[in-house]
Amino acid sequence: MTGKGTEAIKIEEYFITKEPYYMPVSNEIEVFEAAFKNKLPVMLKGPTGCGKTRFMQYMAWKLKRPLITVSCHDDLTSSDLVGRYLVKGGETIWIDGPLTKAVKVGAICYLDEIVEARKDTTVVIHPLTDDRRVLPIEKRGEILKAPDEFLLSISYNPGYQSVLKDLKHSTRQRFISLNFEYPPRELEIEIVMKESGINKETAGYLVTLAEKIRNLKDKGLDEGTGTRALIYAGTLIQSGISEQQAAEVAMANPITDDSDMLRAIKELITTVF
Amino acid sequence: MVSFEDVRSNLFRILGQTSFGEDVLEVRFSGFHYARGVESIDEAVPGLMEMDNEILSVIYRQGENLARRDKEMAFHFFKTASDAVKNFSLEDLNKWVDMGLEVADNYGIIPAKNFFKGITRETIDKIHSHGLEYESVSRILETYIIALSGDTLKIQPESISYTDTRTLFLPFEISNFNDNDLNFKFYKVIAAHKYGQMRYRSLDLKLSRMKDLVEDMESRYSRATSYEREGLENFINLFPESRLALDIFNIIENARVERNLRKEFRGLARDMDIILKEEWEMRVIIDKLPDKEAVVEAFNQLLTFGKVKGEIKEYLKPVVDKSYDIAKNTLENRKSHVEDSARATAEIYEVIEEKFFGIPYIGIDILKYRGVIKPEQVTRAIKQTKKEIAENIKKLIKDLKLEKPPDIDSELQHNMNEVLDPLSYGAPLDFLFKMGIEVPEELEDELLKEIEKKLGELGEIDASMLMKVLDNAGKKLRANLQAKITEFQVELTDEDIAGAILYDEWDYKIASYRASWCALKEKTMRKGSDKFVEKTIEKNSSLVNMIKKQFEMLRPEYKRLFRQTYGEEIDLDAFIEAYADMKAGVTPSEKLYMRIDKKDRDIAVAFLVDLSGSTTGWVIETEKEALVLMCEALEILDDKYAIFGFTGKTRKKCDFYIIKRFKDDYNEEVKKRIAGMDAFDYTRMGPPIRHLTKILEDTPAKIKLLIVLSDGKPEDFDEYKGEHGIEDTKKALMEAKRKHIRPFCITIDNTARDYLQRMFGDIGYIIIDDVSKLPRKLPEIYRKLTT
Repeated sequence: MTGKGTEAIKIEEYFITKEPYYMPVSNEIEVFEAAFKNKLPVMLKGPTGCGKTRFMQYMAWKLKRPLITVSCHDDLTSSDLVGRYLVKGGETIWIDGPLTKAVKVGAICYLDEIVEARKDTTVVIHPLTDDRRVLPIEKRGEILKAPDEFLLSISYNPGYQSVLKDLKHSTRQRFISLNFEYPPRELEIEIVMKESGINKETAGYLVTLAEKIRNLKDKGLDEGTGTRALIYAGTLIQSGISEQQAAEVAMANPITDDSDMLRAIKELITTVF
Repeated sequence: MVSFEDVRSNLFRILGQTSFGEDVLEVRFSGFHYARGVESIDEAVPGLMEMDNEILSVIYRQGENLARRDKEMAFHFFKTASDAVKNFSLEDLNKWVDMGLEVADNYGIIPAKNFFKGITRETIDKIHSHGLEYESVSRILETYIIALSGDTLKIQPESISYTDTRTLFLPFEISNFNDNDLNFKFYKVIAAHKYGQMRYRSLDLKLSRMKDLVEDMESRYSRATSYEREGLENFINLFPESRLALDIFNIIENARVERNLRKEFRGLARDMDIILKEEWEMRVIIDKLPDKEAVVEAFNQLLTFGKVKGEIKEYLKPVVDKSYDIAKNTLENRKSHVEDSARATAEIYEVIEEKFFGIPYIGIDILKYRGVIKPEQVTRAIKQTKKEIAENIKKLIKDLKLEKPPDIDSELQHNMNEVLDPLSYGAPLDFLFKMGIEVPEELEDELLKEIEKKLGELGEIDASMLMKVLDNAGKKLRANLQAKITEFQVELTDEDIAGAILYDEWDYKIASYRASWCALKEKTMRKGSDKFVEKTIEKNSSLVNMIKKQFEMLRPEYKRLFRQTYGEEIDLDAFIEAYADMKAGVTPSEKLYMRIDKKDRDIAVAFLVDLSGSTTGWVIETEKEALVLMCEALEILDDKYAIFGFTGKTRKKCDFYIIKRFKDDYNEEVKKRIAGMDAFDYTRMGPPIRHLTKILEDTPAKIKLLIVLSDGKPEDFDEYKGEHGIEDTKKALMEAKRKHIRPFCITIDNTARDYLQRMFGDIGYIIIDDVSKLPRKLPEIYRKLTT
C-alpha cells in the first residue's frame, strides 16, 4: 500500500498557472498573505464544500508557489509524509514524501482533513509549525530547515462531533485559524452561476433550497449542504437533468441516510422546484 | 365564546320548537317502546357554547340540513355534537352526518334519530378507517417546517388547521384522496401555507399603520377599540358583524399569502394547484346558499379559483363584482402588506353590508388547506412573543452594561410596537437611542453588525424572528456579564464530614481553589417499580429495535491490522520498507506483521444525571426512559458503562447516587434503581463531576467519556449561583479533560442558553429543547460521539 505513488515529485507540475475561480467572502486573502509573509502556519476551519480547497489553490496561484496537497486518511503513516527508502535493483534509494518535498522547494503544503490521520502521524508537523520551522528526517538523521517560502496549512472540519476525531490542542494552537462559512446569498448565487453555468434564477432557487436544508443542521443533520453540492446540482441541470432530480442526487441523497429526514428534504426540493 | 341566548335563538330558528319527545319512540334491545318525557332544546346549548365559531357554524349548517328531514333528528344531532367534535375532525364530522343520513335512507327515521343520540366505538372506527394520520408523518412534517422556517414554528395536531404565529396546528388526519401520497401533499400544502402566513406577516396586523381607517370605523360603527388599539383581533372586533369581516379578511389575505408563496416556491405552486382542484370539488353551489353567504362564497370562488360554481343571482352580481374588483386592485400591488388586505376587507365589508344590512350572517365553509384564523389566539401568542422580546432587550441592555433609563418597563412597552414595526427594523440603534440608552462606541459596531446582518438577510420578518436575532446578537456580548451572587455560605460540621469525601471548589473571584470545600456522600439509589423498564421498552418498541440495529453496526468487526509486532502474516509493505531501511543502513522497524483482529473499541462511558428539583415530573421520567433505551443499546456493545445521579443542598450535602457502577451488570437491581430515580434538591455540579472523574480515572479504558445530563444552570441554595456555579462547573469539566476524560454535556433547556457557551466552551455539548426527543437523541448522540 505505501510506497506506491511516491515517485520522485516533479515540482513544476505543482504550480498553478491558471487563475482558479475564487470569490472572497471577507478579508481572508489579505490575512493569508500576511501569514505567508510572516511564516505562520494556517488552519482552514469550516464545513464541507464551502471553498477551503479552492481557496488554497487560489492562494498558491496568487503567491506563485507550488501547492502540494495531501488528503489524510487513517492509514497515513509518517513515512507517507516524510519519505522512505526504496530498493531499486540492488540499490536503496531515498524517496522524499510530499511534506519533505514541499519543505525542500519552499512549496505550500496543504494537509486536507487533518483529523482523519492518526494522531501520532500529525506530530511530525509540530517542529515545522513553531519558530524552529524544521523537519527532522529520522531515518536519514537529517534536519531540514524550511525556506521562507514554505507554508504549512491544514484543513479541519469542526462539524464532526466524534471524540475519536478531535484535533489535539497541542496541534491546533500552532496555527492561525481562518473560519470558512457558507457565502452570503448573493455571493453564493454568483459562485453557483459562474461554476456551473446555470442562469441566475435557477441558481437562486438552488441557494434557497440550500438555506432551507442548512436550517436542519444539528436538528437531524450533522452538516448543511455545501456550495460544492450546489455547483454539482447546477452542473447536472446544465447538462439536461431535471432540476428536481439534480437537487435530489446532489443535495439530498448524499447528506443523510435517515429516511424521514431524506423524505423531508425531498419535500423541500419539490417545494422549491 | 358565544352566549347562551345566541345559541338558543339559533337552535330555535333551525328547529322551530323548544322541546321534543312528548311521545318518543325509542329502540331498546327488547323492541320498540314509547317513552315519556320532554327534552328541552336548552339541553343542547351548553355543549355548543364551548365550540369555536367556525365549527359552530358548520354544526348549524349540518343541523339545518338534518332539520329538513326531521327536526327531532336534528335536535339529537345538536345534543351529541359537542361529543362528536371531541372525537372527529371537521371532515369526519361531515362523514358522521352522512352516515346518519344513510341510516335514515336505509332504515328509516327512528334508527337515524338513535344514531345521533350518541357516538359508539363502532362509528368512530368506521369513520377513522382510512386516510393519512398526522402521527404517521409528523416527523417528516416537523423536519420540513424546521427547514422552511428555521426553527421558529412548532407543529401540533388539531381538529382544524390554523396558526397562532407560534405553533402550527394541522388536522389529525387527511383522507381526501384514496392515494396517501396525495394526502401527504395536502398536509404539506397546509403546513407550507401556515408557514407562509408567518413568513409574510399575515397575522401580525399593525393598526398604527392605518390610523385613519380605524378612526373612521370607530365613528361609523360607534365602537371603541380596546385600550391597546393593536392587532388583528381588535381590528376584526371593530366590525358589528365580525364573522363577516373575518371571512372576507381570510379570503383576501390568504390570496396575498399564496401569491407570495407561489412566487418564492415554484414546486409548492404546483402542489397547491392539485389541492385546489380537490378544494373546488368540495365547494358548495352558490345557488343553495342564503343571499349574504352566496355573495361571500361567490367572491371567494372567483378570487381563489377564478370561476363560480352555479349561477350568481342577477341582483347579487353588482355586489360580487364590486368586491372582486376591490380585492383584485389590492392584490395587483405586488408589494402589498397585510394592512392593505385589512383596508380592502373594510371596503368589501361596507359594500356587502350596504346591500344586506341587518341580515344575519352564519359564515361560509373555509378552504381546508387555508384553515381558520383565530384572532384571539393570535393576540395571545403575539403578546407572549412580545414579552419574550422585551425580556431579551432588557437582558441585552443589561449585558451591554448600558445606562438603564429609570422606567424601562413602561418605555419598552411604549416602544414595543415601534421596534416590532418592520419599517424601523433597519435602525435598532435608533430605538435604543430613543429610549435614552447610549451604546458605548466600542460595542456599537459589533451590535450593529450582528443585528443588521441578520435583519438584512431576512427582509421583512415577523416578531419571533426578530427575537431570535436579538438573542444571537446578545449572546456574544453577554459573555462578559457579571451576575450577582448572593453571598451566603454555610460551615461544615463533623457530622457532614463523617463518611464523606471532600472536594475542592473553584472560586473564580480569587482565582484559586477553596480546599476541601464540599462534602460528597455516595448513596445507592432506592429501588422503584420492577415494571418500569419493561413498560418503557414496550412503549418504545420500534425505537428500541431501530437503536439496537444501529448499535449492532457499531460492533467491532474483524479487521486487518497492519504493522503489528506479531501476527499471522507478514505485512508486505512494512517488510519492504524495513528491507530498504536495512539496506540503507537504518535500523528497521520491528512492526512487520499483519493480524486479523477485532478493532478495539475500548470505551468506558459514565452518565451523570441531574436529579435536582427542577427535573420533577416530565423531565425526570423522560430521562429515565432515555436511560433505559441507552442501556438496551449499550448491552449490544462491549463498552463499559455506568450511571450515576446527583443532587445537593449547599456544600454540606452533595449526594452522589449509584444507579449502575461499571462492575454492575444490567440486572433487575439496576433496572429497579433506574425506576427509582427521582428529583431531589439543587444542582451543585462541581463535586459530582470531580467524584466521577476520580471513578473514571480508576477505570481502565482507552477512551473515557463523561456524559452529563442536566436541565439547566448549576444552581444551589447558597452562593452556588450565577457566575460562581458556572465557573466551578467549568473548572471541574476542565479538570476531567486534563485527565484524558472527555466530558460531553446534554442540556434540556429551551430558555436561557447564553451561559452554556461559556460554561462548556471547548467541551462538547448539545441542547435539546424538547425533552420528549431525549430517548431518541441520547443513543444517537452516543453513537456519533464514538464513531
